[in-house]
Amino acid sequence: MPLSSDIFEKAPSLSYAGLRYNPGYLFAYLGNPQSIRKHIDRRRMPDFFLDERERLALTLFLSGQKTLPRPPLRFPIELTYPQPLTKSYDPTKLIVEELQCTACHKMAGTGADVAVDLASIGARLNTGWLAQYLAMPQAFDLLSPMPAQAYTLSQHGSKLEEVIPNAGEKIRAMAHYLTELGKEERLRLKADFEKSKKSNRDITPQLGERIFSSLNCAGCHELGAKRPWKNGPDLRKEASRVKKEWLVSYLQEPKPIRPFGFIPGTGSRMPDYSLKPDEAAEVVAFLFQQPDSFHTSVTSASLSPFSQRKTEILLREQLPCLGCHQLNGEGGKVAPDLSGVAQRLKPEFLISMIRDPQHSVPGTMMPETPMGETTSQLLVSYFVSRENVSDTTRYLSLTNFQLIPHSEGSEPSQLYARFCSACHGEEGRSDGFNARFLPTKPSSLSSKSLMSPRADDTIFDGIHNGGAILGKSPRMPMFGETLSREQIWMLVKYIRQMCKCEGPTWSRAGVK
Amino acid sequence: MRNLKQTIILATIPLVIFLGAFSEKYFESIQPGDSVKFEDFVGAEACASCHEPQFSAWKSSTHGRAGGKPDKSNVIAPFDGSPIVFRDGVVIPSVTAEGEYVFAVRQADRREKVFVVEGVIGGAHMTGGGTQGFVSRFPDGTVRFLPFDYSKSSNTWFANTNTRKNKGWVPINKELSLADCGDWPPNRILGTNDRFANCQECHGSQISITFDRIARKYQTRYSSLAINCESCHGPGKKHVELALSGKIGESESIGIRSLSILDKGASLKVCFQCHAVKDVIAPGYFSGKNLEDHYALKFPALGEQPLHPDGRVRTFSYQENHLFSDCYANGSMTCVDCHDPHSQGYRDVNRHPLTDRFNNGQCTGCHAAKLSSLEQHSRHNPDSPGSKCVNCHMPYLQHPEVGKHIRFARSDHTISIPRPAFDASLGIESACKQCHQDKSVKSLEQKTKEWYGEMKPQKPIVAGLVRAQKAKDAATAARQILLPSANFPAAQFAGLSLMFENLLHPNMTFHRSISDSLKKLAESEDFDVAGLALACLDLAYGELGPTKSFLEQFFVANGERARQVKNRWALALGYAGDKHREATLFDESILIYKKALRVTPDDARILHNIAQSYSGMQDFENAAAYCVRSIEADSSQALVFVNLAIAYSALGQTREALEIYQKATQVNPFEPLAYFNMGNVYLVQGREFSAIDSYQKAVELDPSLALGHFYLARAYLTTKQYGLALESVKRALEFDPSHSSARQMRNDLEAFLKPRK
Repeated sequence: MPLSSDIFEKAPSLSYAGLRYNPGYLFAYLGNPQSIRKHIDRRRMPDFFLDERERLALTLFLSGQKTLPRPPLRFPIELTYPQPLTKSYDPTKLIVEELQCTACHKMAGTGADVAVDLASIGARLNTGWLAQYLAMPQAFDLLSPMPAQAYTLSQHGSKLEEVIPNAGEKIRAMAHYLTELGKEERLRLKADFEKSKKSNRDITPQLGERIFSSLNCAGCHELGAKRPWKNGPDLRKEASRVKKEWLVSYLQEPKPIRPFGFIPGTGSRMPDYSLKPDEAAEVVAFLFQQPDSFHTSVTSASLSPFSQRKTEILLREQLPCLGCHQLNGEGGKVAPDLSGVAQRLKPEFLISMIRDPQHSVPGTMMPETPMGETTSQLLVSYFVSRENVSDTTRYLSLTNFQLIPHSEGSEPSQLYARFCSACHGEEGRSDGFNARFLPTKPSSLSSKSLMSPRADDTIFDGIHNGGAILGKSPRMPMFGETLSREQIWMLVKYIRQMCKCEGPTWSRAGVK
Repeated sequence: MRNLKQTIILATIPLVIFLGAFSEKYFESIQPGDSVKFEDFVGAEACASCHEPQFSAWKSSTHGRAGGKPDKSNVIAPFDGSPIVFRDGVVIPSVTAEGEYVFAVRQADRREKVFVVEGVIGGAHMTGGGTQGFVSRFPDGTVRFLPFDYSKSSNTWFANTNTRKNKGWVPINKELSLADCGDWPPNRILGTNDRFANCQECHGSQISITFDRIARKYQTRYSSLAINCESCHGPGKKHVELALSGKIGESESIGIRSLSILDKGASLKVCFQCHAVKDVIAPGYFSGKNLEDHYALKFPALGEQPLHPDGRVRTFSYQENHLFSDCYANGSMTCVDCHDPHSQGYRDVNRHPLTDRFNNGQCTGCHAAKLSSLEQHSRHNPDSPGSKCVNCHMPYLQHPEVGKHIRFARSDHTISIPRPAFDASLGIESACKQCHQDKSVKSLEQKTKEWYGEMKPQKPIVAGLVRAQKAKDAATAARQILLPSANFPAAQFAGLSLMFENLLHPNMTFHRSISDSLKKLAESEDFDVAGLALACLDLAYGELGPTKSFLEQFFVANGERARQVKNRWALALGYAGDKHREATLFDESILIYKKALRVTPDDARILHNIAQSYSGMQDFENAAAYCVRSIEADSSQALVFVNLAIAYSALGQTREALEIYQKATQVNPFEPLAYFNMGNVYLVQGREFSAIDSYQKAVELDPSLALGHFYLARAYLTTKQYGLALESVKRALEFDPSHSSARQMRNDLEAFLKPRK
């Protein structure tokens, strides 16, 4: 996935977040990402709608990251703090006169507004790291416009050399002073963080790491070997999929559509970039340069109340849709909310998706459900008749639901993870994240007592043709048009491994 | 559907007539909420303009061509004047100059009878053997089947001899007499009415028969003799009105129900309106009403037993045995998963049309796994008939009751697994044997074992039913067939009915296990099962304290479920009462009838049956009393008046008796037994000519009334009209050849009337 290294350099590296940030500050910031740095044009940290526990998990994870970016320079300043100062320095004098920080930074009412306000730094940053940074900003941010006032790098770039006398002590004094400025705020933030830690003892840094992956933070932030990955709609087809007006307003206020990730189970979210109307319009204009690629015509007549009711009954009782999709608050949390689907999507795309998901969005998890033409038209008409209804879904908590790591590939375990585990659970215990949103509990595939009376053929038929034909819930979809016969047989074998059982003797007798 | 449960038992002195109708029970009043009338239906043409594709598909389908006014396009039998020759008569089918299709029946010493064919039923569309029947309208307002049917596959006229000679459907030939035909004289009507054999409402659309009390005759109406749109969709008047008003787009209801959102049970009930043998709870059914208010679909298992324990046809049935298939019981299979309801073409479960009825797509739409290796499953070449799913799993089976002369086979909708030995034990030719005629059952059975090893076992309750057929004690059988947790109402009902019929009787030893199972079954969601379970409890343990209190809670229960269950409970008890009455166990029958009366008080039918039981015991005071109560509940029952009068007669109150007979004829001037019994009174009073008059009316209304002819002959004798007496006694012997007195009389008369030289 081509990512501009430009972005990489502009977003703070999180590899040493534990050294750099007051965890209390991180904890608060993740819930309300304000713009801080002023030299990054229109780039900004978006809001990921994190709840308290999610923020806590991320904070715990990030606080454990203490890897400095390069083989460390031999910093003359010791990182342990506090170290008694040999001399006393007037920090204000240092800041304003000697190092001329206020040429860019505001402080105590004076100074320019080109860079970060110094009054708030103490609440955010740890003193030790701050001192390091002041000594050589470029060690941490190569393209930082902040000049190194106290030191310069030696010829080979491996040593710092003093530029002003007593640079080390002066730096330390400044760092000290700036920390004191933000002390009150700092302590308050820390207290909030500690309080949350106490009431959520089950939250671990490991959870935070998974959230980091889910939300694709590595898309902007460097952290060790973490890599970004594609977890959102293909925007090359956006013009064909979505309605222009809707996209403009969505970009300004992205309400949740997919409750648990673009690739279901991965938990990714479209964050809020606080785009202004003109910014949103700019983005949309760019995206809509692409031509339309869905041409199936939709005869959408206005629906009578009767037809609406009938469609709802079909959806609730005969079709598998609500197993993955929610509608009016009812249904699964695997797939996008259908409540506002006609507000978002063009009817031509909608009907194309219903009739042939694999062609409309290659690689989608959505299976093709064979239905007559009148039925698919009826469904689209139904949605279109609710054009003014918005999505109502909410994101599932990334700490309370089991995330499914994304896996491509056609190994049975990977197919299972992708298509089955959301409901049936990673190990077939019917505890997948979506299980509780189904009216009928999904079959426990790991249960020997449940699975041994079923013949292999029956399991195959259930996967191929869905739950309804087995007299079970129609919300189990039919995968016969989506997976090949070989793949389904492989899944049958895989399920047999899960339950450690075989089918009944009469179903195996005579089979060569 | 023939009414198999109607018999007429005649006693000699004191000339009492019994009429037993097994498990039919009528409510006079229509339940609240039932407001569908004949006038609410608009006919198929009204649907055509908006629903053109469905209409055209339907018009050329078997439903669309199921019957109608006879004309060149739909009559398959030869109405060309070629005679149908009986031993004792000739029937000439022809078309008159005015275009009417008629049967002219000519018998010796009788006036020619001409029946005008009002409608043809069927067109021999069925692959398994199709036939055509003919109906004619009678002066009393009924529309009756004529006994002359036509079989296309056998290319012959045939008749059903089952209620007379029990020889099945027989091609008409010179050895057959007219009286051998069950429908001669015509007595089987269109529409549900317990006074006649009837085919309910199936052979047409919106068939309805009511008795018009003012005109004093029956009124039979129908929209069509094809099966029209509204037969499945319900009445269309509201819908058409709404559509024409232009307001249909704004409305929550479109005035007609949607069939595409029905669950599997409701979907099947649409077809089971006709494609099921069923017992009547109340007459007056129209499509659009709740089928279960009028019919109990599983109740034929009680008494008639049209099905084997595994659901396959034992005598004669339709496709309701689909309830026994695994595809339905453990799946979601409805009729329309294979049958397109409009074109009657075939399709797969995803509604893709298929080429024909043998296309495997019907099955592989669900059973996709079998496509991975068809040959491995079928053990036959993939191109051979042996690899067509339906050839093994839905073989065409001749209905046993039809016999072997006329082809009338229907595919097995239990979708069974061929088991050569087991099938043979039931008298069924297995699918294997149908093709492999040359192989013995033993060798076929061996082959299946070789190929398949252990076969899929029968469901426990079905296996139990098979074993329990020979059971001698209730407790053992109960363990095998009273299985409340089996998710299988059809088989649970069969189990209950086996118990009810063979193993339970009043005041038997209490078995806790049986009682517990029955109580659990009484909680079933299926009304038939629950109703029969309660009847079992009532019959066997109803007098014991705890059971009595358990049952009493239902007497006061209201609501939909209680009503449905109680109807069926009473139906079953009524049947048991009838059986005891026929076996002349009158005390027991009254006990059982009175139990039924507790469940459905003031039921005219039960009251009448009690009266007849008292009659049987010669307790005519009680008989009269109960007849009066029955009449109070339903004053349109001419037959009850007749039985009341018989009771008075037996009590010596002849004048009252005659008055009541007159009353009966006022209620229904077409009731033959009223005139017959009047004749008996006149004869005893010595008023021979009045007797003759009455008997003549009786036999005119019912020519099959052998005793009527016989007593008419006696009346002629007393008035010395020997020639007429001989004619009459011969008629009596036509319908009752074994009547010894009649034979004697004939011989004497013949001898007497021989011309002396």
